[in-house]
Amino acid sequence: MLDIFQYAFMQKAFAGGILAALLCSTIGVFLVLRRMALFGDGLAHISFGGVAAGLLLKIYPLASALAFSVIAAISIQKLKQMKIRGDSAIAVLFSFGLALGVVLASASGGFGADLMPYLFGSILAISDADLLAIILIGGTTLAALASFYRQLLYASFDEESARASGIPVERLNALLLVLAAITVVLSMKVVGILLVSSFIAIPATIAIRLSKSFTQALAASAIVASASVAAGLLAAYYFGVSAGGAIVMALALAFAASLLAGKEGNP
Amino acid sequence: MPKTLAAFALAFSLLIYGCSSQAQGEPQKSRLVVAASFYPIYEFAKGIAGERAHVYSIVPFGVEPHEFEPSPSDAKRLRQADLLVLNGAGMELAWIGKLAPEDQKGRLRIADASEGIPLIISQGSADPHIWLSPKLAQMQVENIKEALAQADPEGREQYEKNAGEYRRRLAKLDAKFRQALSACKKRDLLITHATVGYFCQDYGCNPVPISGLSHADEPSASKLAEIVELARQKNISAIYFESLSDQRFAEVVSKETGLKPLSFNSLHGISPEDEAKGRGYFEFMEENLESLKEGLECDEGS
Repeated sequence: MLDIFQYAFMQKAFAGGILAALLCSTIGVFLVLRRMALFGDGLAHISFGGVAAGLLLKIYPLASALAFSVIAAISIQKLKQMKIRGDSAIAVLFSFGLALGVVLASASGGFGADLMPYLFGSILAISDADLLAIILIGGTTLAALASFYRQLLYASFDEESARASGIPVERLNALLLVLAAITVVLSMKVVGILLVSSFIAIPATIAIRLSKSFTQALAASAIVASASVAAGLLAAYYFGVSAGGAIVMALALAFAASLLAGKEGNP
Repeated sequence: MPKTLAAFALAFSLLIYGCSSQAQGEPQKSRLVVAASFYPIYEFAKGIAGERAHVYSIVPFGVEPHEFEPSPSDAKRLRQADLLVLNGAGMELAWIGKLAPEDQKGRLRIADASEGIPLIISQGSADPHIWLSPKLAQMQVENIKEALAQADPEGREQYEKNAGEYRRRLAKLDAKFRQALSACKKRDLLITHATVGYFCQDYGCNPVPISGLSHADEPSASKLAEIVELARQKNISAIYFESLSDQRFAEVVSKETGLKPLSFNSLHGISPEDEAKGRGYFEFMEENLESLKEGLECDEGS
């Protein structure tokens, strides 16, 4: 038995990290297909503003972060309907959220120490409450995705004909974005913004590149994400480097490997 | 049209200039204005200055000084000051450059309270947490007094008197710590950050910090595992949490080892509520002593 698992904090890092990776990488496949790979990053920064507001108003910061990111997700959807491109909408809200957080933090006279864990949440310091939250809310999110799976799939690939065949595309899109918002906020507290955005973007990009079907892409994305968590945590433990950084390195390596593999597959 | 606009802009900027130069005009120059970088330095400077000088803290109460980000109003306030007192040893390095620009160097006196104090160097950086040693704090008080007396020579007598009293209080505190911590069963002080270097140098404890000198440092997985092992091997019985700092890693170690969580106030800052209640350096150091006596299992009676 590896001595790495004798520590409760390492067990929780593996459990929490892999759960967050599964959740984010699944949502990621839907988002990357819609060219919204940066959506997670954007939402995470907006919820940073939400966390700061929560700390300032002395309400539970995760709740205000969730409210902020759900509102932002819906706003992005509305802005898109107003013919503002998705990436521009994300860029605008991204800067706004971050700036709001910084302004609120400086106005309050400082709660830096309380804010940092939300921004850089550490995979080595996952609490039991975090773990429980990600199991419950993450499970619900995945269940919701599964129950609307067919319609979401249709709408993701071909919005026009989905709309023509009577699928409520707008409502489905809104649902997807709200689920993504929940996923981002929840995972951010557990693993931090850096990991959330890479869990959303990288495994899905690799998986979509290598897979022949959507189901296959979902599975590949989940496998890449969780394997990278495991590899990164092992490297972090045995080489004494930052765990979050090592996980993203593992994801980037997987991406590079997929480029090579892809070349051989598609001449 | 552009002409009117230009005239308007000119008038507006003159107005602004007029207002700001008025605001910057010398306030009643009766008392010396002393800017202390953060809490312990503020506390010492205030103790020495008494009523004779106005002392304020640049880092607001309740803000962790490693994470302080000065605002333009902080810079403006500093322009009114006659003397800037720093803890030194690198403590203010991250933000002081943004606050005291070159053009001010001539007028503003800057004093380094760590002058002449032998610094502990750990992994290439100086340990700034001098104030936690009541013995070395007396030297800081001496340095601050000299700076005040040089900035305001007429007040020297008053400053000497106040500083003397303040040093005696610190010496009494030092003696109390020395006595109380001389008979402890445990010597290893497991704590969130490397803040007790000078403290342990005085009282013979062995610091086991989870994170480094700065509150922004994060331990790696292997470092956490190493600390857990150390705590088990050395039979440590308590873990000390510092206020104002990120507690997550201390919580991890505490959960992992089942050690008793106790608090240690490293006095980087006090809350505005504590300030209002008149609780400060001496009160918190006394609390630290009680907490250490519990965690290090000290028995004065025997």
